[in-house]
Amino acid sequence: MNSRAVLCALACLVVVAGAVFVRGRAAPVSSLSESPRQIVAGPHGLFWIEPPPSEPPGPARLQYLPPGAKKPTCLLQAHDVRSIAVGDGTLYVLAETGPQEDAGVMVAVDLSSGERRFSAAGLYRPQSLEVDGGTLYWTESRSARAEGIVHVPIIKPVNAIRAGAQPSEPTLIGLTEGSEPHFTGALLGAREGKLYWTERLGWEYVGGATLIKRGGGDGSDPELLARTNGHNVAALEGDALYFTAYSRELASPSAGRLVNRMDLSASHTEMLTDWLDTNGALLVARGTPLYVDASYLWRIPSRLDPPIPVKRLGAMSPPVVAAYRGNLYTSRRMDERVELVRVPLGLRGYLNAALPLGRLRAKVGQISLTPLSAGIVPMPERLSWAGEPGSSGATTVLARRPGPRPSSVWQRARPRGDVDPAGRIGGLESPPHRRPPGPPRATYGCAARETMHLASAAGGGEAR
Amino acid sequence: MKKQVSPVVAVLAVVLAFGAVMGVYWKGLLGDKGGDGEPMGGGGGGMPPPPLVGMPTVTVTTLSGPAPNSLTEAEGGLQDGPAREARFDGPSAVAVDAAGVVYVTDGRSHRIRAISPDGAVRTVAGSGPVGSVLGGLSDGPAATARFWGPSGLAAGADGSLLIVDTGNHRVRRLSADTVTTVAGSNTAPDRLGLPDGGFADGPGAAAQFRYPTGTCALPDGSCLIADTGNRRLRKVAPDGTTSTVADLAPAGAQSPCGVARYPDGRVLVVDPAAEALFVVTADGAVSQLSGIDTGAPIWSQPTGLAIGADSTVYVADTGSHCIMRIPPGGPPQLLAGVVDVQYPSPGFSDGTGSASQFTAPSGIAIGPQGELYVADFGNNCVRKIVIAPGT
Repeated sequence: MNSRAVLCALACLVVVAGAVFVRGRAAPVSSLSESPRQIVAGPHGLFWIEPPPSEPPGPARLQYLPPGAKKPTCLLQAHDVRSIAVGDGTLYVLAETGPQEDAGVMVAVDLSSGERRFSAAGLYRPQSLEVDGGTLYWTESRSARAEGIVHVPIIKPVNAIRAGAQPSEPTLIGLTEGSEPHFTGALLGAREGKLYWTERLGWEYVGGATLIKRGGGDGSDPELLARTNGHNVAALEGDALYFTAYSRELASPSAGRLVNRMDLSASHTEMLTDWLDTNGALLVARGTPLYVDASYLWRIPSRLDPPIPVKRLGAMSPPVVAAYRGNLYTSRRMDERVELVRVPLGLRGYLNAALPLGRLRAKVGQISLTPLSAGIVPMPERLSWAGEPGSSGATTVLARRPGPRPSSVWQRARPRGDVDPAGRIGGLESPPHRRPPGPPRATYGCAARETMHLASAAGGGEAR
Repeated sequence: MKKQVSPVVAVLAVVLAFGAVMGVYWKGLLGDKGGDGEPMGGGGGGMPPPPLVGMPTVTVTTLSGPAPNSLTEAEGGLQDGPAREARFDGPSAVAVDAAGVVYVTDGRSHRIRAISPDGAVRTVAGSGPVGSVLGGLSDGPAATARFWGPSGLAAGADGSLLIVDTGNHRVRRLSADTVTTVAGSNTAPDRLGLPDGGFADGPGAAAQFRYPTGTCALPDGSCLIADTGNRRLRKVAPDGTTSTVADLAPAGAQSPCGVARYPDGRVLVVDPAAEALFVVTADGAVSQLSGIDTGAPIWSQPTGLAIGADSTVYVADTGSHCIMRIPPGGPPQLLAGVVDVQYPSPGFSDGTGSASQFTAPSGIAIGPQGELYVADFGNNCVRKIVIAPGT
């Protein structure tokens, strides 16, 4: 074998790997004035809504970045732009022409010719828009009938979910109550003539509840698919509905989120993972559910397992995301400026993501873990951790379970108040580097389904 | 001659003085109060003021609904059965009959539920889908009748039940397992197609209301209605004839939603938006109840109202998540619940004092033994309050 050929092959391999690694970086797409309200990616390019700035006051902008273009063009300016949706070569825009309650309009923009036409006017506080085939779905809202009365939904703001091919002749799909003067849920999409949506109930209390419903324009009552405590998010993909709920593993359930998958054909729900941060976004890219929080992009396993960190993202909170052709689009703040970034999700993305996580692994120490419980999420036997403040100021613990693919089974938990940013766990000083062999200084475990605590290994007492 | 001071003593004195200053500073005693009550300065920022708690001789239990859990809001639903298995969805008002049966308007389920003294729950009227804002309107057999967000309830002396059907702008009656409309009629739809309510006195079939929410039964078989949208106190005779007792708007009412009657005939109306109680005399004169410090932490959004035989007023406050008692001529007292003086403090726990927590209690009624029943709207359950004698 010619050694020169081998060297050349190795060099080529290194170059290719390097190129793949570099191309796997999160690449800035455009700079933004502030976090976008919505991002839509598609074959015609990238669209996003820049909400009206407060200082100085100005209009909201609908920006458009065609494929290959370097700078976006402003497609539309209005008092406010609420929502956009793309369907059949047409961009539909829900906007408001003024502060009046009935100043909502729907504009259809032909993406081939650029021609615009008003589809509807006089909409009441329109908020969300979806398009499926030839049917448009949108929400309108009514003012509160009486302030301060929380126990009578009907006299609080009421939102109507409407549908129709012609918005001037709408069909009522369902009504939702709200605490804001506009719809606070999300339209998830339509399947077989049924619209799926989430709605919020009573967020002014302990966090309220999130309802997931579906309904059609056939006059039947909407069907309640799931009800979860707190503010949760959902995503629809094929016959599967993914949605978050309060954690079952954390000491404080509302401090984390788990992800469920509901099989819509069988009405069967299974839990996929737990320990995710609150205030994240759920989306499905190429059939894979993903969760984006302020720190990381997580991959949701296909069966019960810990979430898999894909990339440190630093997305703005709450994350606004879109997925298209193996890329994820979101916004992040970099050095006092906001930018829209494209994050590859394929091989190059994972290759790029693997190295920083490796560096992170090298920094952390190790402590032993006592598997106190056979909880829903299998507890790791060894725990690597780092004092890493999360978005909410709480410290994040990263854990690694040994196995054939240790880099892919990172786990994360956030034992409330037990780890501080200085790296002390339960008051015990953590080793700055890998600890020498010997008895562990602290153990970490999940004692019960709802209780997670740190305990001293030597004495076995709680260190909290 | 100068007196020599030992260096050790001097150092100790300095250390003690420094420690004392730091101690005071750490305690926040030097911290100035900001304009909004936020403690300023001090190493520890000062200790937050302790929460106000209910009376230690007042015991709160959960009569029906899910078991208390201070960590999460109780999940709503529609389920009859034993106390702990039963589920409510937005219980908003309660009424108690002479036998001690507690009736509940299950607002989001658009149904009327009944709780026997052992806590078992059954649905006594209403039908239709669960979890839908949109209710329905139909009279007839109780099992098939439909309501839309009922939020007021009163037990009549004849065993019937008066139901304020808020979303349908009507007053309904449940008697002998049959639901009838006593007063209220169709009104024009609003911009989203919902019936918007109206205002009209007259025979029951011609009368109109706008989002009525509260009621109390009168000895003559008629009832008083807090007509929230019209800001009026209305009276409905047994035959449905409707009249206006008082216009509450000139007195400052914004959203009157609860009504109760003193033993002497005066009527009390509670308004969570105006954060006030209005007294209506027999001649229709309206005035605000005096002696209430509306700036007090316990007074936020008074919503539910009941008056005892001794003229003691009981108020359920959805904003401060507590139950108050107003003795005749006295200021409001925190009876049950925990009120953080800085932030809303909802919760869900049974017990006395600091162990009794509510989330947006909205309805209250007095039982035959003087016990209180509370519609704990945010916790989707019905609570029972027992006040020890002499409290």
